[in-house]
Amino acid sequence: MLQVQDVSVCYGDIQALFNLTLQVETGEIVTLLGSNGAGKTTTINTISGILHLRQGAILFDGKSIHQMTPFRIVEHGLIQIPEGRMLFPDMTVFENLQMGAYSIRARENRQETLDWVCHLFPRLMERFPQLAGTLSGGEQQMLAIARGLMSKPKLLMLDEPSLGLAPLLVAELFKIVSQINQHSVTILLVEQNAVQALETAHRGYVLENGKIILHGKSSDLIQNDHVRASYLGI
Amino acid sequence: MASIIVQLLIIGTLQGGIYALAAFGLALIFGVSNVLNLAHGQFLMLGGLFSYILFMATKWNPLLLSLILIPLFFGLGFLFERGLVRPLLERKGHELVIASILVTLGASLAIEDITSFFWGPEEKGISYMMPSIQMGSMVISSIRLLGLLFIVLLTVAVHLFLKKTYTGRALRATTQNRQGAMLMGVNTFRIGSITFGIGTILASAAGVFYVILFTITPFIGIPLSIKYLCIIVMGGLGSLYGSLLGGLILGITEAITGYFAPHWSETAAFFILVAILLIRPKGLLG
Ligand SMILES: Nc1ncnc2c1ncn2[C@@H]1O[C@H](COP(=O)(O)OP(=O)(O)OP(=O)(O)O)[C@@H](O)[C@H]1O
Ligand SMILES: [Mg+2]
Repeated sequence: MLQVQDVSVCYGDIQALFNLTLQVETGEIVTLLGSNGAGKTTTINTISGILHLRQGAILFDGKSIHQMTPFRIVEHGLIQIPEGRMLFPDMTVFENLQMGAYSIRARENRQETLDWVCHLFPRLMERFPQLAGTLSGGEQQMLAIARGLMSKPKLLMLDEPSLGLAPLLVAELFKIVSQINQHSVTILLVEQNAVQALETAHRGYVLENGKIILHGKSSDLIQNDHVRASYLGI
Repeated sequence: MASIIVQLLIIGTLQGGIYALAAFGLALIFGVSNVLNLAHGQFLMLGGLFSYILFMATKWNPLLLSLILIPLFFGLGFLFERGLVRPLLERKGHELVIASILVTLGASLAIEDITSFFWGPEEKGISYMMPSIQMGSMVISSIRLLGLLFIVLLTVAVHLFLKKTYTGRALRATTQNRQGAMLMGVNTFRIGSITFGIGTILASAAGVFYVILFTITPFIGIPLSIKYLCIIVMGGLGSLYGSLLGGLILGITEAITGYFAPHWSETAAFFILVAILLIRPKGLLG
């Protein structure tokens, strides 16, 4: 479904990604692990079209997307839930969800999508008229995911969704990610929380200093010595 | 005395409404593009000039003529953004602010020169008579009341556009988080052009009321732009609706001081600005 082929990205003169190659197949949950500054956000911003690549190609559903603007990429069903949520703080919860369904593609059956999203996040429904900026951190993260789902993703990319959440909420979040995936949404999950990410995902990639150093089935990565030492703290 | 107060409030609200309308337009533009548009006052001047030309040719009600200006000025603002502002958006932060000031100031000077070359530097005003309304001992100019009504209607229309339409919501979303909006599929560049179009409509509409109430010359644009900048700072940078409040307060203050102490009206406006910023450093609604 998504193929990132030999991609290099620079910020000015500083190269952040080196010949990065990864792919995500339809129906999978794939996790991209890496510590601070490894290049995870750079990777998914490049896929979303926010950043431009220096070299390589990105294909989505067989179409090359690396020349496209971010808003055109959204129309193809490739949606990012960004690090730091990027909600619209002075708009209500409901308006944020409406903005999720902004793309032409998402406007059709947006009522059905909304019903499903409310079913996943019943707490949000009670807070429709509240301004998004006044929600608690956990609620904001739920809203960010809900808003992303309103865009009717084929492939959903989540950038560190568990960041700053209490352990109980983190567990719930990973459950929700699995539920979304069962609703036939393919998922690329960027995480530092390696244990739970590997438990949830089918496959994983490990990114260090802008290079993929390891990839494989989650069950294999959990056994890998380097992963155990660096990411699982065992 | 009561009659004078009422008259002052009407003229103050109308004057404030003119400020509010144009400042609202500037606040929309700043919110979406982070560009300080010093050509904004020129669009007010041009709105006044065009309605003056149309009025001289037709002698129709200038408020009705203003409806013709709406599509014209939308196009003008839209193209202004495409041609002059869009290329600047590659820059970030203070570089963008400085570049935008230089480019829009340059455009302002050019517009000022061109208008004074073709239409002369002298003052122009529309004196359009309509039957007045008698209320007890008070006589109220009906063109002023009608002007107020037009301003309110325009503001409500823009408000509904911002709240109820996909494009309006996308505009607000872009002011609150540009990248977030992009990731929801908003073409933030197109929103930028549309916002310039709408902002310019508001400035030109304010110009129509301006040329009816006062007179215009080609040289009023730049000082007005600066006044609108003050108003949006007073309302709170980034707050769309603060500019409406700021404009109204300024207009009413100017009208009242203008009546009792004519020389002090401009100064009073800046006193108010400073006072508001001392009490609320982020502006009224910031
Ligand atoms: N706008 C930028 N300008 C210059 N360098 C940047 C910029 N954004 C990121 N970088 C650099 O690129 C590298 C990768 O950053 P990136 O944000 O992709 O890391 P990350 O894996 O998402 O980290 P984190 O877990 O902290 O979010 C870092 O060295 C960072 O300093
Ligand atoms: Mg990151």
